[in-house]
Amino acid sequence: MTLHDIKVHEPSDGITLDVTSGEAAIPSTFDHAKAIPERPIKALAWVYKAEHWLITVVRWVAVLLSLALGLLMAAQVLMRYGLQSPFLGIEELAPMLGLWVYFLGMVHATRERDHITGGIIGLIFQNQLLIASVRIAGTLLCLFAICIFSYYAQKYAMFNLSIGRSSPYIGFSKAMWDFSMVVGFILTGFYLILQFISEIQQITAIVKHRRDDL
Amino acid sequence: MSAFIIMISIVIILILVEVPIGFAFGIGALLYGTLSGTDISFHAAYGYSQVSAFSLLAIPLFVLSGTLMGTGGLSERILDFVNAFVGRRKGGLGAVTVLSCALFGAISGSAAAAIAAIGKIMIPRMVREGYPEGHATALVAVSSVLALMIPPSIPMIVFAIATRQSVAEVFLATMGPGLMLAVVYCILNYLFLRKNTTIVVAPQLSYAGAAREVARTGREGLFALVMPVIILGGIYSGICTPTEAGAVAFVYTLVVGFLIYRGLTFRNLFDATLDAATLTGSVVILLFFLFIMSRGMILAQIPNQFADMLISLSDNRIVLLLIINVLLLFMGMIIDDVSGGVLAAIILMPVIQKIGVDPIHFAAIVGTNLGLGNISPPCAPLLYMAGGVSKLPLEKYFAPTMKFLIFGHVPMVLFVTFVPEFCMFLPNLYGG
Repeated sequence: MTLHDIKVHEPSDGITLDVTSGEAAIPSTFDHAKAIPERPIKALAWVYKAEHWLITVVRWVAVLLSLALGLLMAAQVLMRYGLQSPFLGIEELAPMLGLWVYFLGMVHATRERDHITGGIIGLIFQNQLLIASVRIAGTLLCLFAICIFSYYAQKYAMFNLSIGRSSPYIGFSKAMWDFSMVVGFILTGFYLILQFISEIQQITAIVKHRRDDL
Repeated sequence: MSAFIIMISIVIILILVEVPIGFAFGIGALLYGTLSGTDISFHAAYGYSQVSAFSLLAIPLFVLSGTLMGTGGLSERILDFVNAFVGRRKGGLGAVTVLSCALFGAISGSAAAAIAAIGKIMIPRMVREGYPEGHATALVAVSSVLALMIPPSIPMIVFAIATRQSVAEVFLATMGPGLMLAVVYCILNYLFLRKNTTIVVAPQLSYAGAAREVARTGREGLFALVMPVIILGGIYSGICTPTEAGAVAFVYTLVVGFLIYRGLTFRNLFDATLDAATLTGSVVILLFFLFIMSRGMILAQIPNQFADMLISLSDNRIVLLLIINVLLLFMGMIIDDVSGGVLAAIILMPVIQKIGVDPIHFAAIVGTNLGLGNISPPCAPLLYMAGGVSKLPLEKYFAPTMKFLIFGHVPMVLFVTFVPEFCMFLPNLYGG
């Protein structure tokens, strides 16, 4: 559904990894490693197990809030135009639901590598090691940026919390809005770390595969 | 200006090496803040305040409606209905593809969603009936752009918010060009295929038989076909805002998908909603970082300096408009339509104001141009996405795509740019 699923070029010597056994197998495409590899590393089994619970919660919350947002806005339309009596609290609440959907959507997109992505390195280069190295450098840069944004996001949220800001109509604490951004960035950072680990595994397997070929 | 040039160069390089576009903007914003010595501590709070806007809620609502439409069986009904009209003629299936993308665009507002919903059905169907694979893929790619031009369009919503223009008028500015482009693509499809001998055409029906088929598919697809009327009728009659129209579209799709077409179940509702949330997240987070980067540029007066630089190149309006078209084309080739809309609004708006072009006319120029960029190699996200659906290598669908672009889209871009009356007719009619 997103633009990222783009396979223009399929190098003939593509490799996928069996990270559990460390074996490299020859597949049809050389995909960008995802945060959660198909065969996770045994030593990190507890992380992947915890992640499984985490992503289940993220998915359910994102789905329920998306549906709630649609229904809430539809209720507002009914109240405004059907009953001639709009409830302004809905216009406060809807952006909160929206913000949580946006940031949890970002977390899920990071996990699935579903972000909108361009790129032509697969078109230009054939060397898988080079492509994987460029990709891992990109992941590190993203992680660096997300860490900085997480820091400032939590500073902003904590400041609002400390002065006790609340919404004017329904009187909810603004922290309920602000922490969507903090949670979103921290979890995105978490998935970028997992992706970095997957990419290291991928590079290791490419090197091993080359050495075996020699 | 030098900090801006370094930042833009780094952002372009990052995008080319597959860094997600949103994150590339985020890294660019941090880099620009550091190079220009501006305070970066406000960045997160500023981006957050921008994406908290109520009007932006139209995006999740339209994306959700579009996703549920595909799952709920509404897209198939639209395809069947259009097929009943033109499907039994040479090149008919191609026309079905073009018109279905236009109709789908009038509901979902996303070109990527149009490729996913229409391309997955129509490319195999066209290939099965003898269409060259490259032609079928190219046709889906170029037609998907109609979803960007025919309202409601997500990039145009974002453009209107960024330029503080009326969303309804911005929608109308690209509607005329979008509809005309649909007709042009149908004609080109016929002309390109008229000598093809491999295409199998379903036997023609008698007039009575054809009328019966149209009536049957129309009856079956009625609930899907009235959806654009509800959305656009609601917006242009002044009954509801685009955001509220998105909410109405969502509830309508739920009711029709569950109770009438019965394509929706709780299981696929969960999956489709998760897909929509993911797509929404990736679009809005891109906007989050883009707004931050843009603020840095505005504070440093980059758009005004850029405008002065362009105007110093020539004082001829036609030359300047051609330069702007080329810039928009390159922008569309490198980044996605949503980012392109915002960047065009911020960077090029001062030039546009200085040479006296109406902002609504500019919206039409941006909408038409970015669509062209998104299907022009090397970084043509929509083109590659269609290639991903057909699983063809680029060389098979590159030439057919270029033929559609050169004979269809490029003349349309020039027409929209230099004949403003064409795209301003509907907005003027609406605005009185």
